[in-house]
Amino acid sequence: MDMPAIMIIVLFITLATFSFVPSAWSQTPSSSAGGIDFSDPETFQQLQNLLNDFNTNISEQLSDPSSSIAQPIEIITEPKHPQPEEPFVASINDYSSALQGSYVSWTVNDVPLPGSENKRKVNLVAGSVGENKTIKVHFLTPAGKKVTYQKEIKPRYLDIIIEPQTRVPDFYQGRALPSHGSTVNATAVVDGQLNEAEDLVYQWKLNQNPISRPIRGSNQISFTLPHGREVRLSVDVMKPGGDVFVSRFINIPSVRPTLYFYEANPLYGVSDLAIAKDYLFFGNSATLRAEPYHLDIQVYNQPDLIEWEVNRDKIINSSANPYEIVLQKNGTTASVPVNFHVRSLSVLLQGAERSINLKL
Amino acid sequence: MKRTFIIILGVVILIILLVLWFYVLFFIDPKETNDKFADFDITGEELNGSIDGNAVGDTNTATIFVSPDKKLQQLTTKPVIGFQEIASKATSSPGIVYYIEAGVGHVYKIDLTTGTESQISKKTIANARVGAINSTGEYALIQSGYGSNQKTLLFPLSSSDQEVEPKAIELEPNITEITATENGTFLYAVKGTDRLVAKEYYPISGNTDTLFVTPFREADVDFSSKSTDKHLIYPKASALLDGYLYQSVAGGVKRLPVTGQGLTAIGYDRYVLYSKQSNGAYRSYITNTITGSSTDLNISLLPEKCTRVNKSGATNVSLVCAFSLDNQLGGDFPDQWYRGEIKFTDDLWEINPALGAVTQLLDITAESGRKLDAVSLKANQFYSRVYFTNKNDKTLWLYRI
Repeated sequence: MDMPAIMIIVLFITLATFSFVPSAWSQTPSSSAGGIDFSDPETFQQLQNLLNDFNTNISEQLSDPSSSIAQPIEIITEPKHPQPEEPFVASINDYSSALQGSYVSWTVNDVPLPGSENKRKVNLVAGSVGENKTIKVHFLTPAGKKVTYQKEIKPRYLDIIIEPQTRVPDFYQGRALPSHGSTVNATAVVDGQLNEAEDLVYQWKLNQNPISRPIRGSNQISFTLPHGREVRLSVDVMKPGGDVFVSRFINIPSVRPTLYFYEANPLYGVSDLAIAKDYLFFGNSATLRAEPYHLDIQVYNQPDLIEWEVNRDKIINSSANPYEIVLQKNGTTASVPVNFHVRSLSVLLQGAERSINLKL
Repeated sequence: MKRTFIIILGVVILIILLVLWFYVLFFIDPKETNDKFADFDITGEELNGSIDGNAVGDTNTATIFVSPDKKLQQLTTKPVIGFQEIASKATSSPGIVYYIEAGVGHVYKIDLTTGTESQISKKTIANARVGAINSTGEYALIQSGYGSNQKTLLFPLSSSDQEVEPKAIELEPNITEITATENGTFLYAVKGTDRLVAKEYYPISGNTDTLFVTPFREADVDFSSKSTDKHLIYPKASALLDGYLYQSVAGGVKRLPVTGQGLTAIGYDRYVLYSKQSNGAYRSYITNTITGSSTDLNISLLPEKCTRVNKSGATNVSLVCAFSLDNQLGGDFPDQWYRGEIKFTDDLWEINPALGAVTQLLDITAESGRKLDAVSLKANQFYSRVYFTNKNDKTLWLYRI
């Protein structure tokens, strides 16, 4: 037998072999795959009916908000965790068409909320500490189905107390304010209780950036105030292994340090009445104290620049306290300007300067 | 001739004038007169005699002209850092007032019946700046210095002049918010690293009891007159920072539903008078801690310038406050007042928390002719008198309700 004949026989055998390959390999589905004869009109009609039923079923289930494949509906509150007796807004997170045309009503602790008919948003007030409220929203669909969603509101106080580490005078009754670059201590207090803090987990964020990992008992944190007129400090509180049950944020202002002058007396100490623009110089000598407000404590203790000017001349201050100066009347000049300046040369905006006039 | 006559006439006149001058200078005495050069009528009464000089360290007695008919009276010219009316057993008796002189810590007493003032403690405490005297007048608690130099000293007082300086006991450091109870003890708070501990101090035994602990350090405490009563606590106020109000409960604190920037408060029984920032103004409110209802008083005052008064039994509580209806407290309060930038011109008012009623008791400027910034208001035990100091000069004043 010659070669061409052999090749033809091999080719024929190969083609015959592939004709028995399962339909999954072939480009064209076999009309008899899976035992179904698709070419049979009756079979084809059965398949068509099956497909129609499937589509209808899916559509019905999607239209039924209670079915497992329908898009879930959530009651959202703003704020997310209302504090006791705090007003809040409850709204429905409903973007599906499943409930279009439904009659909507709200109840609080199963008591109907007046004026809430067909409202997607309602205004409510949280209860007192320990007074939980169950908010329910009821849907009556056009098909007559009743669907209810609910949310528990358990108000807790979460206070964030800011204690900036900036300087204020000893007689000052108020709280120091934070300035750019200063250290700020913050304490989170839940319901005014100190004992619970160790059992809770706290997650702190500054301008929405985490500044700590969620750590148990970390209800206090320190940070450096970043640049900006205001920064947002937030904390989420959760039980170990549980979800966040209360969260809060506050806006922390950033102020420029200021300076005021006060009269100092060796017997009575520093007066708590600020000297305005002019200081009436009685007697032959006077002691003035320059008190910076809201200057970072580290800058106050170790300033890069601290200087007094009297009559526009820088002077060497021999007082033990660099923020205090003893002035003696000398000459007959009617008005003498006195200036004080304190500043850090490494931290931006950590400085204060002011002048007054001595009236002789 | 005419010229000669004029010259002679002029010389004669000159000689006559010289003779007259010589006579007036050497031979005439001026008449006596009762005119006064100056009348520093500090007490509001005619000064009929001299006030004895009070040399420090000497046994000294002065007379304050006390008039029971006068509604308002200045009791001292010395600056005062603490005072206490010692209760007399006879309710009709005006009583005795003790006060502590600023800067030196000397203690004086004023008998409101006779008007006599005498020094009962010559113990000098340099830079004395805060003080309290217990309700029996037997002990004084005085604080001096600042920061690491701060000291708090307790020493006994005698009702008469002390010949020997009493021995002082130094208390623990970082004491703040000193006040005296009506039971002879003292209340104060101690600053820790991250908390404030409120204590009751028994001067006779030297023992202390912890009343409550706050979970933060920079706190103001409004102590009641009894340690067993509820006290109010809030973070030190600032117009730009949130404040929260707490009430002491057994061993701890409870959060009250009051929040706001610049928050300060004073409480009495179930009522709390508080002020906070509201839409750029400093506004005052009354809240009932039992019912939770709040009333806007439509006024602006600082609760630190108020004191509790119980006029006729526990059901008729009220507050006496120093403020003016002309006060326009803006967005920087109370910081501006704390800095000493503002001096108030106060009147005295009564606020009934139950009714939310505000009634004027006294126009201070009209009564005294002075502008007073009243602080440290305190009523006596029988609630017939209110004492206060003037922030401008720390002098002590008395108002008869």
